[in-house]
Amino acid sequence: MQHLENDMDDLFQRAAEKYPLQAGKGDWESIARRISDNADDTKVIPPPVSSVAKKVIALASLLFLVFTAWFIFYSSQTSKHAGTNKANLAKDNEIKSFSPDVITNTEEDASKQDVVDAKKDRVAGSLISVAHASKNNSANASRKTGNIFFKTNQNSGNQVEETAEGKKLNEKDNRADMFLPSLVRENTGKQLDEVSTVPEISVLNTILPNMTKLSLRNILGEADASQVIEKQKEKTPGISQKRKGFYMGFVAGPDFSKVESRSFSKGGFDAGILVGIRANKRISFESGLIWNKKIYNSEGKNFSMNKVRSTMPVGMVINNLSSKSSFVEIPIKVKYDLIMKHDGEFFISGGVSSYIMTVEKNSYNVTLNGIHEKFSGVYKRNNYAIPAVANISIGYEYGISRNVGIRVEPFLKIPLQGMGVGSLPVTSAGVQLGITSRLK
Amino acid sequence: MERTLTIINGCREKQHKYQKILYENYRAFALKTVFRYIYNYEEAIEVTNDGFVKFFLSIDKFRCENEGDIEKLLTGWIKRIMVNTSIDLLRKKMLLPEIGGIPEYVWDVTDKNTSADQMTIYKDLIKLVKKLPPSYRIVFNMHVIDGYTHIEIAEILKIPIGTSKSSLLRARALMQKYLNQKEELTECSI
Repeated sequence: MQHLENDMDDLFQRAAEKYPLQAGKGDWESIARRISDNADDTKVIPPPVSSVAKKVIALASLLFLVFTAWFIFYSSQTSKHAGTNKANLAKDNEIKSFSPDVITNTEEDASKQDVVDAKKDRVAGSLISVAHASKNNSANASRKTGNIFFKTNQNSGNQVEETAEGKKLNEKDNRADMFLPSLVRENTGKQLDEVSTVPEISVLNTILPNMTKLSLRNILGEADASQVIEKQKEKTPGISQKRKGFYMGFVAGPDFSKVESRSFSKGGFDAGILVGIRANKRISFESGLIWNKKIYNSEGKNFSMNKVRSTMPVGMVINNLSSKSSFVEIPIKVKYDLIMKHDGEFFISGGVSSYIMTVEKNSYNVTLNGIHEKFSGVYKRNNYAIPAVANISIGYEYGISRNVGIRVEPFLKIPLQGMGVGSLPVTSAGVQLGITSRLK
Repeated sequence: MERTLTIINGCREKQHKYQKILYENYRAFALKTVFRYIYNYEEAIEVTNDGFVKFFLSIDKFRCENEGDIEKLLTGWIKRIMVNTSIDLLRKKMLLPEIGGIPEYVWDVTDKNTSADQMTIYKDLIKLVKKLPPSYRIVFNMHVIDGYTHIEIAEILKIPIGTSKSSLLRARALMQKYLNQKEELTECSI
């Protein structure tokens, strides 16, 4: 029997060796091309960026440049405006420091022809003149809606009669020049009536931001102070002024990934555009297109062979692997503003993200026929996961203007399904920094 | 032998000239190996090409301590890669058998080293292997023709060693039966 078996084995071995099969012409060119392609893939240390990734990067870069340019332009405009305000503020401070010394309470000591300084302001279309009280802080405002009037001393000389305390002030100091218009300065001592040509000093832009509510109430009275404070709030930029509507922005930041119990590997990176819609005062919905580069390591047991079994040598066991993946992330999340401050807001957000893998480069440590070996695999556009991860984050957004905010947002991404050819459960954490702008 | 070593070294240096020489030298052998598993000529050519790509990409791992055996080792290595690549394809196809006979155009009738009778016998034997059920056929091919042990077969096919052994026994029995039938038919025709 054994003899027969040996004969049969020998017969079939010879047949397998010598049976007449057409060898054909062969296709060396295609093999050479494939070898070159694969060799290139293995040589490239950073995985080749696909055309989709290139477009996303280009778009993100463009958006970043546009935002940067716009931000610089906006900042320069704001600083110019702020410079003007500062100048006015300086004048105001002069007024404040000057007033207690030189101004006499007109009502208390009118007969002494004291200097009464008047500060002209416009609030809600009305001109208000404010007369500061003497140094005992009994500030008293004599107001006259629709008119401006200044009371100045009758002395045309250099000395100005002081207040009830009898102090004198040298008018050569010309401190009054800083706030009194030339028309008034030329006045020889007569009371000015209704000087409508006096340049206006804006209370809202100059004085109020530097005055406490208390002092404002002391000066203007409760009702007017409230009115002014309300108007000040309306005019001052702040994130709380955000209205319903669309906004978009640019986000970027480091990303640290890990698979199950492995520690976080060295950082990857993500960058992209963000679009959102503010549904009401607190709730917004956000999405976007974010290019991700993740670096992570995994045990071989986590790697599923289902998608790559045909390309792997039979009998190979993966011990562990490291992966560098590039993909496009499409997040969908809800943002809720927890604490809303005047110039910013603390928020939490949650949602899911889908991944479209563009390039995945894996380096495997394997055991094949009892021998430990290393090899790598590059997979392009091989899969997608919808949704891939649950996305939770907290953050703070600071309003640098009424329409523009900058945010910092630490996040955690928890896998909902496996990622890449090995369906690895990749957990990510990181911080996203971003700038957003409301769309008009 | 030296020539083979030069070719292998050229392939290690990724020189297309040597890679092409090796491909041309071993293409027929590789195709014959693959065809015994796949039994579809066009697919066999594809698998052979895939196998050669794998071979050239992993040739750095090819070690030959005894240069006297280099030819034999190289042939064995190519055969192993071709068998593995073929089994990968079969696994993808869920081991579905190739339906129908083998078309005549796949046979080479120009070989002058072998007599026509011998060629017919070898051709018929290969056709007989195709008649085996797919799982038996793979085990028969691997063990009887390509020299794999049952342990290796079990590992590669991810089946118990006992299954491999029993499959081979049944394959042999069937093959014996086919051969007897063939013999009877030949005798009748004479």
